[in-house]
Amino acid sequence: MIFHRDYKMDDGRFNNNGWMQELPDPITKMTWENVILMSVQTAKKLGLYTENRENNRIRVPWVRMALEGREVYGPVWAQPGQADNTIALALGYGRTVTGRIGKFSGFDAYKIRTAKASHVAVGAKITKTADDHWLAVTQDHGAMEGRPIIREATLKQYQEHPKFATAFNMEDPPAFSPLYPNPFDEAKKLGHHQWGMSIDLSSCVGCSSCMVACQSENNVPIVGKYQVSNNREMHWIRIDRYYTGDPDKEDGIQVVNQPMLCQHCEAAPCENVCPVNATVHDQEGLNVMVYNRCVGTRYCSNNCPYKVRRFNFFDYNRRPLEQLSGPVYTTPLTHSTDGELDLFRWWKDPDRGNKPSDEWELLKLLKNPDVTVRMRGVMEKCSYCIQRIEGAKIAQKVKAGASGDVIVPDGTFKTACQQACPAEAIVFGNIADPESRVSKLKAQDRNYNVLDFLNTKPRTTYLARIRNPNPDMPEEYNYKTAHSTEEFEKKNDIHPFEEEHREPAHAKPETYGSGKGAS
Amino acid sequence: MSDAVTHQASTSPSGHDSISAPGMIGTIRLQAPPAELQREPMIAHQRSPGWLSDAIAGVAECKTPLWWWLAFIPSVIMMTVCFSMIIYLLSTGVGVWGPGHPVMWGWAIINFVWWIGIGHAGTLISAILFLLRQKWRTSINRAAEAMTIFAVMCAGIFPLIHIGRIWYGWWLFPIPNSFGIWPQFRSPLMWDVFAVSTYFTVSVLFWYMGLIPDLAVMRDRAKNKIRKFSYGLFALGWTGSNRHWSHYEKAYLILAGLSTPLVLSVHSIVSLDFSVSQLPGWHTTIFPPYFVAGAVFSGFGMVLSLLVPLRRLLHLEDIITVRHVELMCKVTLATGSIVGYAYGMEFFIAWYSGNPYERYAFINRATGHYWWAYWAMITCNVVVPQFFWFKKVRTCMWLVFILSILVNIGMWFERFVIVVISLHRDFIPANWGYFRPTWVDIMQYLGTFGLFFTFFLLFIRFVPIIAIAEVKGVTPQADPHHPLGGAKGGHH
Repeated sequence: MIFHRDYKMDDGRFNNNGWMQELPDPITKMTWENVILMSVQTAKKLGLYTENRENNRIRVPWVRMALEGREVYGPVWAQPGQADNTIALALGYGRTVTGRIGKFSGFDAYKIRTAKASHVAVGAKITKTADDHWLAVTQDHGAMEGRPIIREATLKQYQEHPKFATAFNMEDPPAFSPLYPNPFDEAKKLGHHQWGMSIDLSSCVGCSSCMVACQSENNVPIVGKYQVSNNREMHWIRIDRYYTGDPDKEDGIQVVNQPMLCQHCEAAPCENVCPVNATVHDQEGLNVMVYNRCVGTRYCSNNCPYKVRRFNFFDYNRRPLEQLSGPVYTTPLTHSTDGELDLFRWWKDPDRGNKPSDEWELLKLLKNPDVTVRMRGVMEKCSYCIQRIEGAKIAQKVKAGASGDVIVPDGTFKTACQQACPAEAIVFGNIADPESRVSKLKAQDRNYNVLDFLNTKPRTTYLARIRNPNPDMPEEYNYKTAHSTEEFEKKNDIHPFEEEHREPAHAKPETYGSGKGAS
Repeated sequence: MSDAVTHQASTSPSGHDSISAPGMIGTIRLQAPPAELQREPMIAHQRSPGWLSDAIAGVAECKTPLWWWLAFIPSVIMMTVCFSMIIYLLSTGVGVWGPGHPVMWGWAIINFVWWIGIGHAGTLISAILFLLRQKWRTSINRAAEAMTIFAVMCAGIFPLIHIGRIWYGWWLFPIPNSFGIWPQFRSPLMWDVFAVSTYFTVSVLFWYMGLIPDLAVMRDRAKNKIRKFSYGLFALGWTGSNRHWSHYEKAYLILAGLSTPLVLSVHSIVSLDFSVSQLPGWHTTIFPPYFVAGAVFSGFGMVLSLLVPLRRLLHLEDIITVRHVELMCKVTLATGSIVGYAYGMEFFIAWYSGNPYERYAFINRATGHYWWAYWAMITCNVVVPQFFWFKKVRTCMWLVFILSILVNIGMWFERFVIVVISLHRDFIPANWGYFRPTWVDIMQYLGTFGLFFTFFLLFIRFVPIIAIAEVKGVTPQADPHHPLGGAKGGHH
């Protein structure tokens, strides 16, 4: 049995931090609590395995863990890739004295940890109890199903086939002049900048700090365990984690991560289905969300192939924190705050929340004053930190004065996720400027679009992941082809690394805008 | 019937029958159809016009039967539930329902499409069958149109309340405003607003227009002043003069002409809500015709579910005859088979497209986590109507009733399959999730039944449920060429 400091709570010091509680663990994608981790095989052997059928509120066995006469109760989670016959317990949860947020989250693993065996202990006994327990997991499906969402190669393959990334593309749709030309093709000629992002999957380690950075920058609310289990978490950027290979074998799988956020498609499927013009394009290539105009049909989310749009199902910013744990939010018709019926409070002042006034005043300090706080019924999503873009543009205009040099120089500002990324995997900038860092990254041969065949022309592109297996390692770790590639080849019968693979689609880099440096 | 048989027997050996009428010059010689082509009359038992008026108007005039109250009270309670759920929803947020990532539309849209599909039979019967001179429509068109209107009302609730900020729902209408922003006309939801509101308006007009002569009948038969005044108010001074009838017939024809394209357009446009998007399982060109066929299928299913018990309860078996039920069963069979063909074609195209995402969406329908919904749909929509090939089934009323209910269940599942199964596993596997309704979803749906049946039961009690004037026109007596008809003399 292994005791480890929790990825988010550390030793428990961040237990009352809502951002941390709601941040999914980078691998298990668990929120709001810790679990007893064991390998799939071990869980099956002990009869504790639960098949994840993408069920919300997945129910797992609640077990008793006994170690040298001490005991603790917790839920079991079968973790692909964990070594067989090991159990991992995260510390830092189950605090009895904590704030409004940390209450009732997880179990306290310190109870069975002793000074003698403070990191690794042997001889633990697990007994199944009659109870079960539901968990809130943000990603229910682990496999990539052979789809070229994340594209991988080994270093050797890359050296032989440097253009492999686009060889995963599906056939190009036949070229024809569209009945309804995309108005953005004209409009972008007016933009001074063309914003874009490049994410290097070789650098991304899935640490998730971009998620928290984004949450704090953009006033993204936390929704509580129950709403996470309803798939209603609000993170604008998320880390998709896939297991490739055979999850039943302890050495059988590889884990890949992909930050997923609004792709700012030039031909955005979300825009033409909105009945009220609430999501539109600006000349600089941003897919902007007009909160004021949104009525919340949610059609945009259904039509978003990347499913990066987030909907305010409740007034998350106004409800009292006790309601975080759910399950059902009280209606203002019956709930009262500070001794006053919520309906009357709303009638007197619609801008006041249904929170006790101390909480209300305190939580105001949490907000970024540059960013709108969204109300219920409104769709939201990544804005490429438009407030920072605008701030930089205004500063540049002031500086430019009469000279008219209003193009923001590369590297003047960063988006929140880019700023927080310790691996510098995320790079944002002006793609109309061929000298900008992002343009150079996009010009690399590893560059590809997710779901290229939809022709959405995303402004967020990815650099394919390169693996470098160590030749001295045993066979499982010294593979010729990444598992994801094997799955892709098996499923689609396309072989991106064979000599005669077809002409890479979208091989010609697109040129952008009339911005200063456009070629 | 017995007269017709006698008449057959009395035809001359040459196979010709001579009919002469007063005022006619010479003799018209008619080829009498062979016995197997003799049609059953539209109105059984040679009921006289007077009997028809009494029987139909009597439904709204007699003492309220006990069964009516037994149906009405639960309906009103469920209608109250419907409105309570709306209030709860509005005060708290759309989150009281089940949707979440990636299934952002749940029961609300399923119910919307389901109800609007049901609302198809009415206009089809009243308009298209009218233009095609299908006379059997007269016995069922009034009730079917009423059903249409109430079903569209139930349908209309859902798109309105499912939006996040209902108080801004009016932004979907092209109302001149100070923002200087129009609705976004490329969005199918926008087209939906126009399609559904037009359909509702025309359906109401058509229904009301057809009602005017009958309301005048009710006015003339009224035994007290309040009834006389109220029916009189809505009868708009109808006197039954030739001029009135002439105008009426013209207006009816025009409205029928206007409604006919609407029958096809409404559900086509509703289907565009799905097919315009690029989601596998939604993005298909087969949707418009397939949706229209499905809508007519479910509409006739609902008409059968309503009229099969009602003809018994209201003693109208002579007007809504077994032949009517049989004919409706045949329409159900035909449209059900089109729907079945469409299901097959969807799979074929998914395979033929060679697009792995498209293929997966359909394999997932049949074998994924929601396989039960898919197979419930196939059973109810493809297998069940095939029973209507058999005359024994079509003429067995309790069996028709059960099968028609199954048709409606199947059509609900069809929308479930389209909305939920397509969304729950789309392009990027990391997004895949599961949708589950909440108790509010379920009560909201059941609540609309309360709304529907409250209106329908009130309709039965206050309005003639069969078009009195029209149904008289299809009696044998009204047909000059019929042995019993006016041309034989004696019925002027």
